[in-house]
Amino acid sequence: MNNITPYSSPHYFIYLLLLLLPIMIGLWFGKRFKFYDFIATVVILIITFFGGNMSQGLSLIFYILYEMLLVFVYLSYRRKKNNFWVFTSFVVLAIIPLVFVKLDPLLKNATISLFGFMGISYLTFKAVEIIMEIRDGAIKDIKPYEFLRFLLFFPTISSGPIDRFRRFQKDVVKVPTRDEYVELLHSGVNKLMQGLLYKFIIGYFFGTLLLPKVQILVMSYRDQAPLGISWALVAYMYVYSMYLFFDFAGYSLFAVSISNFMGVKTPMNFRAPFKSHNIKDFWNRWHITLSFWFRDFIYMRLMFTVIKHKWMKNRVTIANFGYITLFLIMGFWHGETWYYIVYGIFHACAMITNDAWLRFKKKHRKKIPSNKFTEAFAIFLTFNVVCFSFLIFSGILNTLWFS
Amino acid sequence: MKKKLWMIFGPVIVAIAALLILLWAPINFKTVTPQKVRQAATSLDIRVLKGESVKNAAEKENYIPIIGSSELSRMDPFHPSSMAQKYHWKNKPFLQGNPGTASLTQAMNVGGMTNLKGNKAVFIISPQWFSKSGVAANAFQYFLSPLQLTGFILKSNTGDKAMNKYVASRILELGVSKGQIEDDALQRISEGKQITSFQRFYIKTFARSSLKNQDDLFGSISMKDHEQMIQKASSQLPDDYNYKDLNKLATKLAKHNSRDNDLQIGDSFYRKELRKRIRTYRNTHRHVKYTSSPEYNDFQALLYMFAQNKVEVMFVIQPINPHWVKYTGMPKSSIINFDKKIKYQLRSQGFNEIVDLSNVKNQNYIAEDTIHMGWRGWLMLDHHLKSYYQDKKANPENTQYHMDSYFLSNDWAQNKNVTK
Repeated sequence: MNNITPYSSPHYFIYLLLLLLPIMIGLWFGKRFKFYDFIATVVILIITFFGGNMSQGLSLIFYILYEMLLVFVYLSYRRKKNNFWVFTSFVVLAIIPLVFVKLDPLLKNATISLFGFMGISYLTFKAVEIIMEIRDGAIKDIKPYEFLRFLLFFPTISSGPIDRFRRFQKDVVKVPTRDEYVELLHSGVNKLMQGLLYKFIIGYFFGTLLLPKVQILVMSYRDQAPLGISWALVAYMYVYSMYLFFDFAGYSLFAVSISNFMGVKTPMNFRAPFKSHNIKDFWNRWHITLSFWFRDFIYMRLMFTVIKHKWMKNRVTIANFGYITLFLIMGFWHGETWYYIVYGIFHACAMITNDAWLRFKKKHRKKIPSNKFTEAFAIFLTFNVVCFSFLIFSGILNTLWFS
Repeated sequence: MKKKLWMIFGPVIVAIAALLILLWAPINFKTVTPQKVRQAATSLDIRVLKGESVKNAAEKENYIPIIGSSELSRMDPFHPSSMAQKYHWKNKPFLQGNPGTASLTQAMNVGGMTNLKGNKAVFIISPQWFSKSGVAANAFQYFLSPLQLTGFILKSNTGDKAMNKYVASRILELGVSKGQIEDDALQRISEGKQITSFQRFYIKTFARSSLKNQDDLFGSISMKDHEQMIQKASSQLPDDYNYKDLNKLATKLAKHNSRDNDLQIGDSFYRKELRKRIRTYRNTHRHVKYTSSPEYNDFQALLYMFAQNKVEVMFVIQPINPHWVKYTGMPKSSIINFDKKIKYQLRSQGFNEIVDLSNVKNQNYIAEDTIHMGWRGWLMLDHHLKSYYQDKKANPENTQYHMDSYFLSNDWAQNKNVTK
């Protein structure tokens, strides 16, 4: 039997719902069966990672042991001392497996990524969050099984949303009241159905039916114009953007829905992102848990460090420096190709321009009109800027120009 | 509280129940009407090829299938569908084939047409299928119908064992994967074993019944429609059938439609596919041979499928545009040897009705573009079809087949010899 990618086939849903049934009945009667939760997690992980070739599953086990070792060594160190460089080395060590996995395709050398498995990014985000919050003193104690339960929480294991340890912990130690649980079931069912609509109907329409046809069209204009630019490419931009949103938002809805059935309020990942008024607004609505993670654990800390050490004085320069660093890291995180990195730089530029515009608007508030039409225009412009960035992200330009 | 729960889960339960009924209930959804069949006959929609219900309905009406590949979409006035409409043939062609379909896809297709039993069919062979590597794996995967596959697996306990073994292993070799249980069943068939009773139970009760309902429900809704195209084509024909006059008309129309080039290639095709890169084809086929190819084995599987159902088949060997042959430098011997080999495989097993258009005297405008028959080519075929289409029942004298499993062997496929 082969690995089953989470939420990708009817089989997965059938196995999942069967496994969930005892958990749901338990919660209905106000009980959490810790031991059963553990068994269910193991079964799901086996279905996801141990089919056919076991290398993914073994990687997962080694990775988890490695991260656990780091977290608990750091925890016992932090109880006594708090050296910046020790902290930094632990963060670097925690990220190293992910860095190797990301560098692997670049080196064409399959040996350096010891830990290649689906979802390694998301587990790394969680582990790094814990180390950082241990340093802050926000996490004072953490038990091994709590760590495992948080990292291996199966509804979100392969692609997020990225929950936070303390928030997650609050949900799992308590049992919701009957009324609260009915509310969670309600929300879970709605999100499951919405997810099915998003991923398997709308996402399928854009991604499986439309996208290949548009791609063939794009490639057919390859030699007809400078750089192969055609209207088909514009169509590709919108079709790909729709596919990306509905596929990923659908997936995230499944993850939140299944969490709800288990009495956990995993945060939502999307909030009508195409209604954003500007690019900053967009990042508060698109892949929310990721952008908040980057905001809290990279951007804010960087800002704080720069200001504390007085490396720069001008507040605008500091902010812009932060954007460039942040989005470059995000670009590199997506993968080591030119288009992911250009995608990062493009968004950094968009954020810088947006900030400049907002400052300009503040100064000339009286002269710049603000009404329904300007609002509609802002949404339209933001939507198109975002879609253009996804065109870069899609990699079609790479296919069009270089292959 | 109960009401609350019902409000949450009720709609989901109703939806699941409705879905289960649609997919698995043994209801015969009567969606195939005579109009649908008429539309499907010239639609060339992939769902028609991959489905079963429309084609089996057509076998109960006055249709005789023409099975082939991309040439079927060359719908000029002399296309059999257009001629049949204009001159009121008693039976009408039902077209089955798309760009990329070859012998094995059509073997699965024929296997699924249970109502073809004891009837007639026409089969158009393209020499290009018989290339060194045979059918492209991705083309075969694209056209493989899960419905026909389940049918093949369930019928594997009957029919010729060597053929079943060959087809199963070839499907696996071409990288088809339609589910663990189906794959395992194919594996067993390819080893010459019977499928297990669990495999039979699962494929019959779960897989096939659902695929059947899906075919009934969705197999013929919003199909591609070529009826107007055929209408327009047939309206260009004179009211009285006279072969000589039609031959002149075909030459005239073909001339008119191929003015861009001196290779007798239709203008629209030439502009779209060739004009920019025509030079890259010059003398590129100098070493092309069609005498050793796995396609010969696939073709044999197809013959078995026809033989099992006692189908009378008229085989048509498709012509190649002679100017194109010259331009690409293909040796004449390639086509002659192919003809000999394929005819030997057919005749030695009792398939004697062969219309060979690759070898006629006046080859002007026999093809509509490079390798697809059209204009005069269609007209020559129509001449044979006219009488063949008088009656849709097979003549038992013409279905005395004696199959030889040697033609499933690698030896026959790879050997350059044109006879055994």
